[in-house]
Order: sequence, then C-alpha cells, then structure tokens
Amino acid sequence: MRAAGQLLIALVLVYAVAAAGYSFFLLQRIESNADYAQENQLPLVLAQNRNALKIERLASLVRSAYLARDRELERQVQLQTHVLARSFTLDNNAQLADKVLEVAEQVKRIIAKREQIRRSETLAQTKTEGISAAQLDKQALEAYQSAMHLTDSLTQDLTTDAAALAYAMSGDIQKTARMIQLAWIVILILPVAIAIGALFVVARHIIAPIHTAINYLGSIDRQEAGDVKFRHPLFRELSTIFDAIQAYGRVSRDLLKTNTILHTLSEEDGLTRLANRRSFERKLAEAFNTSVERGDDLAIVMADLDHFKSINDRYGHQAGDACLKAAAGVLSSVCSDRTCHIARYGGEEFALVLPACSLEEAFFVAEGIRTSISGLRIDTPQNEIIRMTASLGVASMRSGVFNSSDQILENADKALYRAKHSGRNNVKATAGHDIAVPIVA
Amino acid sequence: MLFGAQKMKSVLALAIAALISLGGMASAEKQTLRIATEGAYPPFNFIDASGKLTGFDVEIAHALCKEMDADCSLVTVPWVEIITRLEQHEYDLVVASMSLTDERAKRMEFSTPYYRSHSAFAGDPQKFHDISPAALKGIKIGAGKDTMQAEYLKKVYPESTIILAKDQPSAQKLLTSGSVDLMLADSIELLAFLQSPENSRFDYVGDPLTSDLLRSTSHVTASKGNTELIQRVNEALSQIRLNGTYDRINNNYFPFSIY
Repeated sequence: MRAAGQLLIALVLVYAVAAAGYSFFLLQRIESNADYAQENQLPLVLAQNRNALKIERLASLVRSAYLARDRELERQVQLQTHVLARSFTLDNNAQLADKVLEVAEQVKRIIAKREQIRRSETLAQTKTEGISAAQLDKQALEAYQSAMHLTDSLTQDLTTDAAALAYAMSGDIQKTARMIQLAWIVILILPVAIAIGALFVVARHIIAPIHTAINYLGSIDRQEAGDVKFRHPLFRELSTIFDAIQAYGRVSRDLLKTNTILHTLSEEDGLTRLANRRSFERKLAEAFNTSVERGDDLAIVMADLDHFKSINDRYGHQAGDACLKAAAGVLSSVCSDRTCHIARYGGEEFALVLPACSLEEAFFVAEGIRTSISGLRIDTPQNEIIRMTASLGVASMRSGVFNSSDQILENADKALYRAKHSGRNNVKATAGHDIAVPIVA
Repeated sequence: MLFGAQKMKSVLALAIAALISLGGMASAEKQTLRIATEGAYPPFNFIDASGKLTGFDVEIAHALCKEMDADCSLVTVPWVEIITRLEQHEYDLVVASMSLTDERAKRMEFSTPYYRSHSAFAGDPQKFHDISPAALKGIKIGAGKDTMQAEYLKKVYPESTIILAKDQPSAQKLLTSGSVDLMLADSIELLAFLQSPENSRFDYVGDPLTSDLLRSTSHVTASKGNTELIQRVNEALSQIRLNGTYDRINNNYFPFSIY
C-alpha cells in the first residue's frame, strides 16, 4: 500500500510535469506562430495590400491615359506609369512585375496611337500609313481594354493572396489554440478518470476487505465462525491483517471446542456418562426454582445398589463398573419418555429428579426402577452371571414443607435409609407417606 | 518653537525649489538632434521658392523627431561632404535619401529603409533605344558625384564618357545644356525633372534596369557605432508607418506609395 502511495505521488508529479510541459510547448508554438506572423506574414500581407493599392493607382493611370486626349497630360501619365510600373520590379515577384510592365506597355501604345491620330489630323489626312483614324482609335481601345483586364486580374489575385495569407496566419494560431483546448480537456478529464479508478480500487481492495474482516471478527465473537474462505486482499499490509484474523479465528474455534469438552467433562461422570453430583445439584436447584414459580410438584428418587462392595470384592472392579453402567442404563430409560435429570450421586448411589411429578407417581417410577434392576443379568468374563438389587427412597415437594432442594434431597435420602433398613430391595417414601405397592406378578 | 517652525518652512521651501529645478533639468534633457540633408535633391530635399528647406526627406525627418520627442535642427550639407562631416560628428543623423551600399555600410550605421527606388536613364528617346554598354560606347553620360549611379556607370559602362556633377540639379543641367547625352539617376527623382514642361523632349530611355546594383533602398544614417540612436529611429519609423504620418507625407510628393 505504501508502495502504491509512492507510485501515485510519482505518477501525479510526472503527470503535472508532462501537462505543464505540453502546454508550455503548445503555448510556445502559438508564440512562435504569432512571432512568425508578425515578422513575416504580416509584412507580406501589408506588402500585398500596398501592391493592391498601387495596382489601383495603375488602373486609374490607364483610364487617365485613355481619356486624356491631351499631349501634355498623356506625357505626365506615361512618366508616372513608367515609374510606378518599374517600382514593382523592386519586389521579388517576377510574375507580378511582368504583368505590370505589360500594362505600362499598353499605356505606351494607347498614347502612341493617340499621337498618331493627332498627327494625321494636323496633316489633314484621312489615312496615315494606310490606317484610318477610326482603326487607330479602335486599337487604342483594345490596348485600354487589355490593360484594364490585366489590372483587374492583378487586383483580384493580390486581394485573394492577402486574404489567403491572413487566413493561413490566423488558421495556424487557431489550430494550435484548439490543440491546447483539447489537450486541457484531456489533461483535466484524465485525473477525474484516474480518481474514479482509484476510488474503485480503494472500495474493492481496501474497504471491502476491511468490511469482510470486521464481519468475520463479529462472527468469531458470536462463536459461529466456520472457516470462512475469503478472497485475499491485493495489498500486502491488509493481507497480513487478514492472515492474523484468520489465525485468531482458528485459535478461537479450537479454544471453543476445548472449552466444550472440558465443560462436558466437568459436568459428567466418566464411567456412566450420567451427570455428576455437582451438576446434578445445580440442575436440582434449577428444577426446584421452576417448580416453585409454576406451583408444580417436584419429586426426587434416590437409589443405592445393595451390597455393591461385595460384588466388587467378588467379581472385581471391572464387573462392578459393568453393573454400575447397567444400572445407569435402567435409570436413563426412565427419562426416555419424560422430563427428568439423572446423576451418579456417589459410588453406587444414583439420584433422579422428576419435575411436575407427585410423590405417588415418583414412587411408581422408583418401583419400576427397582424391578428393572432386580431383573438385570450381568455377564462376567468368567462366564458367571451377576444379579443385583437396589434400595430406593422417594421424596416430593408436597410431602413436606421445604425451603430448599437440599431439604427434599435429605428427605429422599432418609427414605432410602429406611428402605435399606427395611431389608433392602424395596422403595420407601418420606416418613408418613407410605404407599402401598401393588404386587408385581 | 517659533524658530523650529521657521526652520521647517525654510526646509520645505528648499525642497520645493530643488524639485522645480529637477523638473527644469528633466525638460532641459529633451534630446536635441542635429540632422543633415542635402537640400539639392528635389523632390526629396530642396530649397523651395520662398527659400525654405522642404521635401519628402525633410518632412520625414521632422516626423521622426516628433516621434522621438527630440528637438531637431536641420542643416544642409553638400552631398560630397555629407558622410565625412557626419563622421566628424557635426551632426547626429543624415536624412538625405542615402541608399545602402557596401562601402557606405562600413562608414555609417543604417536604419531600416524608409523608401525604395531604382535608377533609370533619361535622355532623348528619339536618339536612344538600346542602353547596353556596347551601344553606349563613347557616349557622354552624366550622374551625381559620389552616388551609387556614378559607381554603377564606372563599373558597367567603362567605355562611355562619364561626367559627374556635384549634385542632381547640376547633373540635370548637364543634360539640358547638351553637355551629356544621357544621365543616370533615381527614377523617382527624375520623374519631377521630366514632368516639367521645359524638359518634355526628354524621357526615360531603355529597358528597365533590373540590375541589383540599381535597385536601392534609402535609409537614415548615423555615425558608426551610434546603434542606440538608430534603434530609436527604427522605432520611430515603424510608428510613423503605422499611424499614417508616412502615407500623408508620401502623398504630398508622389502619386503612389514609394515605401
């Protein structure tokens, strides 16, 4: 990006210098054109103009020569015509000079014819050298017409030349001025186009990537980040930031995963995959609060496997563990069709929370558990079969006045105690709430 | 306090006096130019019937002076002395139809031309048609001394008899008196001579002389090295060309522009 910035400054500088140089070049051309016009073309135009005036003067001398009919006047005219015509030889324009000298010749002829006519008149002859006065007069007229025709064409040529020169003169300068105009339009449009291009580049390669990065950071924050594949930014600096953000996203995801695992581990009993005592107590407290809020009942069942220590002693810990898993399976099946929370409460002790459940209902659930556990057959590696029983205690919120979930739990524990002391493999409810158990066939 | 005020007044008066004298000095610094002309070259410069110096050159000289904001005094100097005395700084400028030649360019500073002309032979048209050097062998030809026409004759017509007069009127007298058969002079200058009724037997003779040697441009000149003055003359010349003064003077003397 820094390199791009430096390049931009360099470009702007080069551009400014080029624009200035180009306009300087064009302006200088205008100046030199104007100088050239002033020093060469303008004098030329003036000379043409001066010559046109002189031709006009020549034409009027021709007219005077033809109309004079007076020897003295004709002489004056002829002398003036001579000098005027010769003055054209001073310019380096042979074509013009030749034509003008031709006009002077015609003037000479007109005057010569007139002289001849006068001489014939004084001699009172109708014919001079076989030519009549009328014929001489006609010849003078012809000379006059030829001279006038020449001066007319010369005037026309000179005015046209002067006009063409003036036109060329202004045309050159106009052309250069137009070029300057065009150049400046381009010079001004180009930066605008470049600015628009630059805006596009900034939008696409700077703002858009930053936006993507911010969105990505947001999604990491909301813990919903998948590994988003985004287009890599063009600029190295932004690219570096992007890599950092992506790395941060990955680390964040890993941490999240680890946290989830650690959380589960801290809430669960490793062997039975049931909730442990700590998470059970939290869930119990939550369920208690919910029930109080809703005015529902809440039942707790405590179960303890009978003589579990002897199973461990006799068949080994692995067999003991298998028994615990089987018992946990029984308890879990209870929760498959109703809301409940099960936990391994202690070594071989399990607890069951049943929200919105009466004492009687819980008692029957407990009874079902007891029956299921007593029906379990666990194979040992030694191909022996273990059978076991459980004692269960039941308490509910409405079976007493309880201020906390602990008190219910304590009550259920007491009921379990009573069940243990009543010969095990039975279910007892809170004291004073004995429930008749129907005989299971 | 009173004394202080008086002193102040006197200082002020002194300052004003100094300013006035400075102003006076400035006006006194208006340049004075001495200009020489021949006075014997009609219609360019000549003494008229009332004894007044006039002519195209003279009027141009006055116009230039006005344009340069200078006080000018004109003197007439015989043609043959006019360059030498300029070199001796007797005057600052020469306005006397001085045409440019290589020799003269070595001795003087020349302005831009103020008119152009060419030379022509004048004589009896009945006697002369051919003016080639061969045809004019042994013929007496007149011209002004120290003129470009004199140079041209010496160079091109070595076998003709060349008689030089001190100025143009004298050269014309040579022709009218029959001392020479032909004269070579500036065609514009000859025009005035030929146009006078008593000279009606003379005319321009021969084909136009288109030799570069006889085409001439007339200039204002200053002594060698005085380029600064010539520069100012050039500026004044282009000014009178532009503001119409030149054309007005031209029309006083000639029926067409001689620029």
